Amino acid sequence: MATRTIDRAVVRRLEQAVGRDGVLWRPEELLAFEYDSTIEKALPQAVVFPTSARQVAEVVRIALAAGLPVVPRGAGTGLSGGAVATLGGVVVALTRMSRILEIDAANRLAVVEPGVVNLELSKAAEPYGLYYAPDPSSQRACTLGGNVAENAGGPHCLAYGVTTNHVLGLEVVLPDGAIAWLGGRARETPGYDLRGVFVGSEGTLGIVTKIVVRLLHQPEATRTLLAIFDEVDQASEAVSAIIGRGILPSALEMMDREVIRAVEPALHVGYPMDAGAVLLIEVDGLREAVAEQAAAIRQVCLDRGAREVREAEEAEERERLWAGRKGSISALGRLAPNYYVLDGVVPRTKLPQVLRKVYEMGERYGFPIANVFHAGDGNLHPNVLFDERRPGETERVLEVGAEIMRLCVDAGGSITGEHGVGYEKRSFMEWIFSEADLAAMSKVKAAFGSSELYNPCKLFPTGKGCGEVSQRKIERLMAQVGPDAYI
Amino acid sequence: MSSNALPGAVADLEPALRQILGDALAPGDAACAVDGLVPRLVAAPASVEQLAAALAAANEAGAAAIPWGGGRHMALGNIPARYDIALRTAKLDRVLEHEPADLTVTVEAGMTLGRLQALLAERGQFLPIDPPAGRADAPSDATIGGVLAAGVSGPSRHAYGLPRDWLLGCRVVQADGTVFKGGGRVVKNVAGYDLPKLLIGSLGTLGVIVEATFKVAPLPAAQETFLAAFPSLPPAADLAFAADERGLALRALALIHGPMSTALPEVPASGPEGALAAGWLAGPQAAVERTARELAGLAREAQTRRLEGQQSEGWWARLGEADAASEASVAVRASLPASAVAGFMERLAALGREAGVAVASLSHPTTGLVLARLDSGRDERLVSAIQEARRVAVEAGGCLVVTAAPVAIKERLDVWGDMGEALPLMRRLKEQLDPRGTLNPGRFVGGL
Repeated sequence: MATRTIDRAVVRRLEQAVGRDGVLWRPEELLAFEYDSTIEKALPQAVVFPTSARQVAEVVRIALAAGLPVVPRGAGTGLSGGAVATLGGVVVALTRMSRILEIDAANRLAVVEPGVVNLELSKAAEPYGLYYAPDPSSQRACTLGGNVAENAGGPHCLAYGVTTNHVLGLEVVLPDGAIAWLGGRARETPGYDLRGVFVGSEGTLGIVTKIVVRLLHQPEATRTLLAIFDEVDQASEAVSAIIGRGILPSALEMMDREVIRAVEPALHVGYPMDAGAVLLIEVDGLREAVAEQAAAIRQVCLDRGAREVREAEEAEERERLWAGRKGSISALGRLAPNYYVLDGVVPRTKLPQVLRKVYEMGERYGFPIANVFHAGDGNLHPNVLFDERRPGETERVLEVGAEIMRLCVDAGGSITGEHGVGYEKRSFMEWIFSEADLAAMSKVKAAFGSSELYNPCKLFPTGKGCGEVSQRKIERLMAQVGPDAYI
Repeated sequence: MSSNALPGAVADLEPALRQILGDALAPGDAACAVDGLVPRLVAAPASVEQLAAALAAANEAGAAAIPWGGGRHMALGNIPARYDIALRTAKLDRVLEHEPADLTVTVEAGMTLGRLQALLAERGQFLPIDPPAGRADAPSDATIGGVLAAGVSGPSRHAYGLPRDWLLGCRVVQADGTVFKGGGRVVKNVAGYDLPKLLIGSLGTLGVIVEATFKVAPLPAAQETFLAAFPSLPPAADLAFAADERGLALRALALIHGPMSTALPEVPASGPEGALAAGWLAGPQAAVERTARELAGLAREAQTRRLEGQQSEGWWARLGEADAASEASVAVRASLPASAVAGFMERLAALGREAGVAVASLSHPTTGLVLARLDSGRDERLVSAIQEARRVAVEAGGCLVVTAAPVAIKERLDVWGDMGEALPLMRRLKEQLDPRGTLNPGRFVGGL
């Protein structure tokens, strides 16, 4: 990749805006900012670390005046390339804006800066008996600003919703450098729900500088079950049956045979090595309610052929069961040198048939596919296991990935449930959205005053200079997926 | 927003619409009046294509169209700048997809909320969006599209949240007749901009919602109602927040202050300054039983009553009826941080006493919503009371919208209040999607 340079005069202006210690521009300093957690690499021309909304606004104005793209960035844990400076430009890193400004326990809300790490908020809210519900698996590292940009999910979003369901208000720097509040501290504000469309806009509509989020009461009781099945089919039918029975667990996760084979030897969490699939199911709420739900779930699983349903008796055991789920992606490294993480959604009732086809697809192409995912939402995460050193293997992995996305779309689902479209899936957008749908999105982008310079090559299927999502770039993407990847 | 059309173009519109709609075009009448304005024509298209073609023709001609669902929330909004055609969606009322085991449903937006609920109930499900129906004796005649466009909600928001938490996707006809969709039909989806969020509460100014996909919820296994009447508001509010704090199995928690509390059935006596706390218990039987016990414990000082079965359901329907404003009165909706709700209700009552305005208020305190009705024979008193109430709401970190008022009042204030720094952005959005100002001109925020 050609190295793009930056005019020293622009660097000076950036330094005036955020201070000399807030600007990186020498190529060797920029290396750590050329990638996020999956997708292609691209070197920015500068990385700046503003500490206030005013500074963000100033940086945006300087960059745009210099004709440089602007790319917001949180912790870089994203799984769709949202924080990669595809066409170079100025990366606006929000990690120094990491203060929790307020926890308003009476109103169950918090006001935070975008660089606050997801889990830190729940820790800070704990003394008040409160927590922040969306829990992406990267929650120890990912920032709330990044969560807003990607509308991040997590295992417990089944009952409590994703990021957008918890954001009340946003202070944002708009693409023209103006600062505006969208929404506020109350549950609703008159006018268009601009906060609603901003959440999940993947950094294309502006940069978040403050976030007002809802906090929830910690539940009185939590019960965690592990249902063990001989066959994946039985497990996915149990998922449909649980939801169909009108029970909405707080989490309902599936891990298949391949995943268990990777997790158990590495983490020793007690998943039987000969099982076809396990479901990790959690219910929370009033003691009486969870007791009833846990009993009903146990029965449904047994009816669908579960060989055993275990329940965590104490916190330590519950944490062990979850450790297996949370460590599953890292553990996949035991099975193959590389894996390609997919994120698709299908209607819950289509899970059994789509999963069967996913496995068939793997067999046809000769790749093992390991599935660990948010089954209750129908949010699949197939991991295609392969070895990039074998000639031609990466090309075929790409084909499988695209075909699996196609399966999700054909089943009435979506190309992403929580990772975002980003760079990688731009070309799949046309599978689910018509020209008119995409035009309406472009109009929204125009209304925000956004342009091709604002996080270019993300979300929309076409973009000037972005090129097609090339084979080479996706090869790099897969090479990037390492043991630190999260789902 | 001005239109480029010649006046004559609007006159030519009727034949064009007749060709598209045939018998589904009728002369306007008082039944379709908005703030006293009667449209020249009423269109009732039978398909999305027909609606799109009719709207495109209106847009082309520079005519102004007001989408009309069940007519339930037409009092909302500023006085229309222009009004040529009422665009009725009532014939778009098909179920497009309902897979009970997926807990999702897709319907055309002209279907009434009442019909959708009946249909879901057959499968043990419901959509937890229950805005005031205005009448207790019949299912809601508000349409899905109207409820979404008006951005209304009801008691169940305590446990279930707002319409924005339940709408998964929608299909929309833009002013120029372009049909687009946003979101999808699955419960989790982050592909592309979340356009459905923009449509909720947009009062039909960005496009006509013609189809909607929702998540739905299983009906709770057990339900009942708990009423506790107190001599004043603070202890009633304390009860509500204490119940919330404990995470009890409640679908709704409401506070009622002023004359409204005595107009409701089954309400124990509580004196002239009295207030009522109402809980709608819902969940597994054992959880509901425990909740009833704990509520009784919390309400030892109050006059209490438990309602079960039909009586319980009916009570919440009556609450929606009591909330509906009469034609002469003003209705307002304040959205506040939860902790400001009780203080705001008391301030409203004091304001009423000071200004000689009769005030009745109802709130869903845990989600910060206050609905109030103000009556007075004198408009200037009402206007200043509204302005003062809005000032108090804004100061508390919230906002206040006038949801219904006589024209004479609307002429003297902006029903939405000040949008602040977000208004230019809203204006640009409107210009992008409806550049000629065809849909609901003048009725939305900032005169959009």
